[in-house]
Amino acid sequence: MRPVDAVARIGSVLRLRDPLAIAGGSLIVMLAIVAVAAPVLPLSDPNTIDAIHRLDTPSLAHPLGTDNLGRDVLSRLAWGARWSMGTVAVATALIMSIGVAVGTIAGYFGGIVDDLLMRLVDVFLALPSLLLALAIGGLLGPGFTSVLMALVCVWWASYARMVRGLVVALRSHDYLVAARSLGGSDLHVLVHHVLPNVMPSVAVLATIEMGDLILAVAALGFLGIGVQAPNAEWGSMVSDARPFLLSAPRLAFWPGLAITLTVMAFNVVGDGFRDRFDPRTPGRLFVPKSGSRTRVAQASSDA
Amino acid sequence: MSVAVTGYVSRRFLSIVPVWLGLSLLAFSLSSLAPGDPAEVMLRQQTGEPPGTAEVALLRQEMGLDQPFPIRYGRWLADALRGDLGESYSTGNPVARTLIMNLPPTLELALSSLILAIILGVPLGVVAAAKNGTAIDHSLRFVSLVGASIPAFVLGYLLILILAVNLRLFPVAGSGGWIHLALPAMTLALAESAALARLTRSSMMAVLREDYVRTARAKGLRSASVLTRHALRNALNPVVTLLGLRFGRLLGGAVIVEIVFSRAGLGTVMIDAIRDRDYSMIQGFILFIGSVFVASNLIVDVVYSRLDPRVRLDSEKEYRSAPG
Repeated sequence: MRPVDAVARIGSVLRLRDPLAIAGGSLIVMLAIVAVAAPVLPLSDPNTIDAIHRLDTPSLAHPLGTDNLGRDVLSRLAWGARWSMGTVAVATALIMSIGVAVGTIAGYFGGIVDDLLMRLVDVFLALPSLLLALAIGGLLGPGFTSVLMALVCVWWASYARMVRGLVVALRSHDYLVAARSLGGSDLHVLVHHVLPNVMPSVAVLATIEMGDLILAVAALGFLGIGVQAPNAEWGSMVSDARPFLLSAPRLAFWPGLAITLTVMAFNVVGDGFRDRFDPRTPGRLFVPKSGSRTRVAQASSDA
Repeated sequence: MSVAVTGYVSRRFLSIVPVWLGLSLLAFSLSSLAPGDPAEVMLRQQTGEPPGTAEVALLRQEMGLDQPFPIRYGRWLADALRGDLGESYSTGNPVARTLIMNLPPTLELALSSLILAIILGVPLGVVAAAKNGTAIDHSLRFVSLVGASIPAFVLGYLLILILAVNLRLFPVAGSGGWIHLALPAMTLALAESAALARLTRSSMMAVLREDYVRTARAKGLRSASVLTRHALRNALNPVVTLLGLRFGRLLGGAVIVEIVFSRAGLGTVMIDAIRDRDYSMIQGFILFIGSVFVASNLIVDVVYSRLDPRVRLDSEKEYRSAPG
């Protein structure tokens, strides 16, 4: 598939008929803009403590009010978006690279390489993702790098497994055999014939998993492993709001709503992407091999 | 049990050995990669001030930390196989004992929310599939989307506010009888039932297109009986497998929910261990949770192979045609 075709395909995806998916897509674009533009947006400083305006109700100066230290809630939400979206974007890029590399090597070369890599994947998938992320983040201490490490260590394995499955299914296709018998090197066949057929599925998986990553970042933040204080993060905003749950529930409500809406947006857009351009849906190039394992995998990815 | 079943079960049992060894290596190397020296952390916690280099070196020798990695790992693994995960660096209590003592409340929470999720999710999924395309289906889809997207800690606070503070139906936090279990279990179950409802719906939709369902309808059976007796039974197979796969997720969720509701369990143990940089506890925790997870997947697979003979036949074929 040429890049032009990919853009055309994404274009058709964005012309989704499902209003939920359109709303989700727009929200993600908006959040991405806020995340990039947070420093230049006309917002108060998110970390300025104002002892006089503690726990203010919404006003013109503070549209969503202020928190227990007098900091502007709206501004902290915007900077929280920068943290969440930024972390998830970098993490997804790393996860995709590692997952695709490992999965392609395992699936294409097979044999003992495949066995070893897949046992490694099994080990990482044998742990509840959130707990492993929590353990890694906890061991490394708070900060961007440790959250990133935690996410990448936990999430690469499911990509590797999926890509490996796709590559194994591809390996026996006539056109790959033809490319090899025409004298194509392994690298040439991988880059020009295998990867272009794998990437659409990877993109779909990435969109669906981004919702999970946002949730994980928020959960780590809630547990105190995330951004370093006093910087804003949605999950830590919720946990900071705990003492004010009765007196000022809005302090927990806004970041909670931000997390929920963002995850929802990624979920509906991921669903839309899968319906539109996952080659694994019947009638396209890759027909999943029969058997209940595949059925389960598909059904569970529907869930 | 037939030969095929015992063959499948014993192969499945053997397959967890490399995974478990890998788990132990992962758990052990993670805490070696972490910054800071356990001996120094330990001394600092005992005395409350930065220890001298001589003291640290002495304790490192006592704890065996001066040995090379393979030897330390080998010792730890040999102990772990005998059920000894060492002692906590911060409290000095045996790690394995602490984890086992704190497993029951976490399991209680995870299992009760699993049951609650099945009671809620499966009927909702069946209704959504039967009323496919109607307003009921759409609103169920939306509700399950919200349920799958809302973080457990946000939902937990929401339920505390509505059910405990405003309506005074349940206690706000703590552990004790079933009344203390109700809110945490609901928090955990809502997200799970959303996922279950979506899966049941898609699985039912696939089954409802099958010929035997059309035949059952053509015979003039009532639609309720077609749904439950013909369709649901077959639609539940992937649901059962997913339950096993999601059990680990549920354990992870339980840990968070325990912290939200200040409930005793593995979550509190884990958070304390992270706060105190208690490496021996964290590595023990990873191996312990991983073992619980691997064991639960094994049980589900074995149960599933009894329910659906195609699984063991497939894996038999795969096994025979496997390279090497």
